[in-house]
Amino acid sequence: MNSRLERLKDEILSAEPRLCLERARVYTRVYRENEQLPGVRKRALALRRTLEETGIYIGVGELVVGNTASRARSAAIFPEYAVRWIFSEIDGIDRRPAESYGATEEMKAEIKELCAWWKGRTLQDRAEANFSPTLAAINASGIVHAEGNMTAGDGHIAANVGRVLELGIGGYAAYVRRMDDALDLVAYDDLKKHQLYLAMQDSLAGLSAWIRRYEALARSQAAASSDAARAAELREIAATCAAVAEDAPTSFRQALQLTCFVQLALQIESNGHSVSLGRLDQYLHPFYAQDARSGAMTPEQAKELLSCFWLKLLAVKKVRSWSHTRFSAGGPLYQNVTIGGVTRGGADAVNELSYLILESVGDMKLTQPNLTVRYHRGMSADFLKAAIEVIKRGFGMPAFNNDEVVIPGMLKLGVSLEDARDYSAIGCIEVAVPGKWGYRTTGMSFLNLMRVFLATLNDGLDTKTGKTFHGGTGSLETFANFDQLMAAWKDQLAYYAKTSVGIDTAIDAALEELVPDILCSTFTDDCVARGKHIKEGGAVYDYVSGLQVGIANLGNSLAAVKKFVFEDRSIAPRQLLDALESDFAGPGGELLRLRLLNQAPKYGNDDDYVDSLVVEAYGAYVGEMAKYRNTRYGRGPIGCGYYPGTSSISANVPSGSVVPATPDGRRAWTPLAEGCSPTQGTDTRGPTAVFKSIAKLPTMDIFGGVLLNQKLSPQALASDGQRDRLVALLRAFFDDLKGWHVQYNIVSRETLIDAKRHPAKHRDLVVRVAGYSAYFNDLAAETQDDIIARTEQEL
Amino acid sequence: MIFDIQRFSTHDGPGIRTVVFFKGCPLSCAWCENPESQSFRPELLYTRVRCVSCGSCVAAAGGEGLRADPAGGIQIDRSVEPRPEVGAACPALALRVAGRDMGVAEILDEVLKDASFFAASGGGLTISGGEPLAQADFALELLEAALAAGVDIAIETCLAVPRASVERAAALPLRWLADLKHTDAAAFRAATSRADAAGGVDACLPLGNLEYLAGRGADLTLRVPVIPGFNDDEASMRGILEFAAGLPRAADAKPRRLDLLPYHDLAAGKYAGLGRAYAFPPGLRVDSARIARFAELGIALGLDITIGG
Repeated sequence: MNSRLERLKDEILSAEPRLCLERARVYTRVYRENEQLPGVRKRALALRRTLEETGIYIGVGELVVGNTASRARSAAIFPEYAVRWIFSEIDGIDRRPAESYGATEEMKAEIKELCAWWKGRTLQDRAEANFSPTLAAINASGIVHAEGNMTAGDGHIAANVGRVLELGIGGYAAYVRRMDDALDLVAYDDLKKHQLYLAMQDSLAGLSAWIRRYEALARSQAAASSDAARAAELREIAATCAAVAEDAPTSFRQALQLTCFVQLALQIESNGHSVSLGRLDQYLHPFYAQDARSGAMTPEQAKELLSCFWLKLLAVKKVRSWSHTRFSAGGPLYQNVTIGGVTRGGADAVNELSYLILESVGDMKLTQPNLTVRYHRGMSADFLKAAIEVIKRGFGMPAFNNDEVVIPGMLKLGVSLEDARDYSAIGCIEVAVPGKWGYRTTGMSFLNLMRVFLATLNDGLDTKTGKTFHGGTGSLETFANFDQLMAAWKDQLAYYAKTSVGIDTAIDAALEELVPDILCSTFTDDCVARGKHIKEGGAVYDYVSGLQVGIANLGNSLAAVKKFVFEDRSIAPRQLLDALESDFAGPGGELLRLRLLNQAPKYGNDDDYVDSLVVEAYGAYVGEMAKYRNTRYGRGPIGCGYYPGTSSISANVPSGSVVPATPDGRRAWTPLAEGCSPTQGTDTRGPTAVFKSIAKLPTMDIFGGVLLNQKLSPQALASDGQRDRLVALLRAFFDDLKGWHVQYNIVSRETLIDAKRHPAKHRDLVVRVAGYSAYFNDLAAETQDDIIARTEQEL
Repeated sequence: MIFDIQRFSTHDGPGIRTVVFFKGCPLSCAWCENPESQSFRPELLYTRVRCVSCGSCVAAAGGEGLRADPAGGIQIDRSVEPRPEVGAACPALALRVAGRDMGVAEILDEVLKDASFFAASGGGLTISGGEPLAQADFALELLEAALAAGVDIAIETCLAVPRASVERAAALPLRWLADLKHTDAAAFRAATSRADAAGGVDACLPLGNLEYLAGRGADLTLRVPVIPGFNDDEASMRGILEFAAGLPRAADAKPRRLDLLPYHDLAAGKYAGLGRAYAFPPGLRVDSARIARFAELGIALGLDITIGG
């Protein structure tokens, strides 16, 4: 990292996160003054005015420019999504235990004033109005957690940046105008399309105007600069902006700068997270190759520009309600960059830019972007080793996704072969065809599997709330055998799976009406051609996945009940239920808990007894979700179904905090297992056994992703021999066992414990939290403990 | 009799391996990192700090060999051989029985679970101990079965076994990781003898077996534990390294591989768990500069030296 990058990185990391009111002011004004306009046009106009009016800056030494708020690491307010949490939390927003944001009393007062107009007009208000009383009660109970969809909206998408680079913003504007000109406004559908096309033109005009403003700012800073070298850099920035404000880029630098502008504008438009970059090493490569050939760009220069871009991604912050913050600890925005994999033709796609991206991400050690390497059988040992060299630096990147599973899985979903080969990761581990896929390939509602399981044991009674949402077929005391228990599980699960889709539908309908993303739709195929935004069915493909929390706890609980209650008959049903209700209180309680914890088989040890129960119980969910359709079904896209996903981010901690004690020996209110990983500390047979257990799941059908975290101590990769073993481990897991994903934390347990005690000493310690990396210091204490508790695998 | 099967072992031969630990050894070295491997009979390993004094094990033992300690925890009569169910009864992972009889098919099932990882890494099965060749018939049966299943095979051995056993094993395509502890007969006998074995083992037995294996061109890596007060002096180590360098090998062969394994005390807790005293003072280490000097000496003698496994 050169001194420029070091300084820029330090500036951003030391910047106090603050709130920024500018976006909220413009959006509130535009919506108040234009109530007569159709929703799509209000939305686009508000974006356009924001891009035209809000503060921009070019920091000292920056080479790539753009900003989403008035300062780095400041967070804009998105009042159109939800304001209830803002009213209840704004006064203490600067004093939260994690992710707090600076704000003066005047700012807080103005925020309340702005948000007052939005009461009753927000996405959350509309979504809740769409809920039936039962859905509302289940949503409130914590069995299904859908809050993020209402307070933060969509996201989880990659736009067709490659096509933007090809056509330029002006090219897109001309395309939209051409489509608009061809309409016949006597037809209802055409009238709706016309409104959308006007909105798209507004959003594109705003984007171009925004870029022109950076050009002008760079020129004026250049004129005012007494430093000749910096003035030249600023003139170069101005020229770069001028070149891409309307036209298609012709150089690597221009292409990268336009990519950055598009990414940041999408972040201003939508409050969602996981807005991803797709296959950056593929669509930027022609520009780099041409510049490298002509001598216009050296690898070092390209790495510096890429690093400047990563810093722009790092500077973006979004403020969430406290309860939502706990589900995604560390304030990540999951801006994924995917490299490697195969080309649309099936050849190895790794190129020199893939290496430069990998190395620059490794040099910078930031939490953004979220870097994914697409593994495939033909990937060279050289590139794999280069990836492991970056993993060794211990900030959790890159993660691996596996082409050998994802591509065939996509074909099964009806994706064309070329598109399937062109997939990228979105957010953490979930996948989509970038530029052609609707929102939320994963990330709709969280379903708390263990609350459902406890209801199964109690004749449908949710012991946490005392309510029975779906009457059961018996309780643990009346089931004659284990099969009856499994049947009851499937019955309860079917009910809650349907409920979660019901909640999604209510929210999706509200998202479609109130907060459609016009710029994002413009850049997503085939929205322009179809004249529909993404939520109306504009995307080529559109599948949705919810997220499930507690998979390992479910399997381990089933195994313990099967063994002790039904096979050995050494624990009476009433005894177990009482222990769970009292959190193992009373004489013998702790002993019973130890038996459940230590004397029943545990998932993650390649033990078929429990692994087969995970496969059956979770497999039932896979089958249930396949029955449902999202709100775009029949409106254009291919698919429009549901599939499961296990990328539970840090939701295992807050989800556990609403679950009483469970039969796997887990105490009440403590974290659940995360993703598809084994329960913390119970995988004692080493990494190959973990891989084998995971691989028994139908990974190809769990298309929202099968998340596995493994933590390695630094000495595990100390020698070349050890590194080669990790390569072999990955190859066997991916080639033979068809694993979906794996990512590594390379930090010693001692380091983590020390970092918790002395945060100042470890300011840049990055760890993997489920599907992404976060600064350890940004995490709440309970999440820190959870990470420390995960079994450290010795290589 | 087997006391453990450990998957994903990476210091016991090439690649990713599964190590099957045989129980029972003709030697009884004070620094042994698997003291539960020495006896040929099942033994109890007890971790007092985990014990919750629940009495489950005492009940499972049916009054034989275990009783509750009035001060908390249990008292163990080590003259009584523990039943397998005694270890299984403990809910707190405080007590386990080391050693159980397993069949070849059962072991092979467990080994083959990692076949994918063996193939990708060039790994396989390593039999270890204890001394696997002290149960030569069983060891050979397992190796032959693994070989028939296409698994690469390796052995960790002290070679303090009859030549006939070595010859039988050497007929297989086996990777040998063989101990070379000392070349001086008296020093070897004093440090490795069992209290219950009169006379002890002659150092000539393993040394002769090493010469035999080297002479027939076996795939042989020497492993030298560097133990304070036993062989970490210049003279002892020079004797060891010169012996290693002098072992016969083909003219075109690569340098002889030799791993220097510095003493560590990670196993001290296991001695306590067996109710045995640990012979070395806490915190004892071999100076790393000294290890480096031995490595240099070995390299000067033409050996391919690795520090650590």
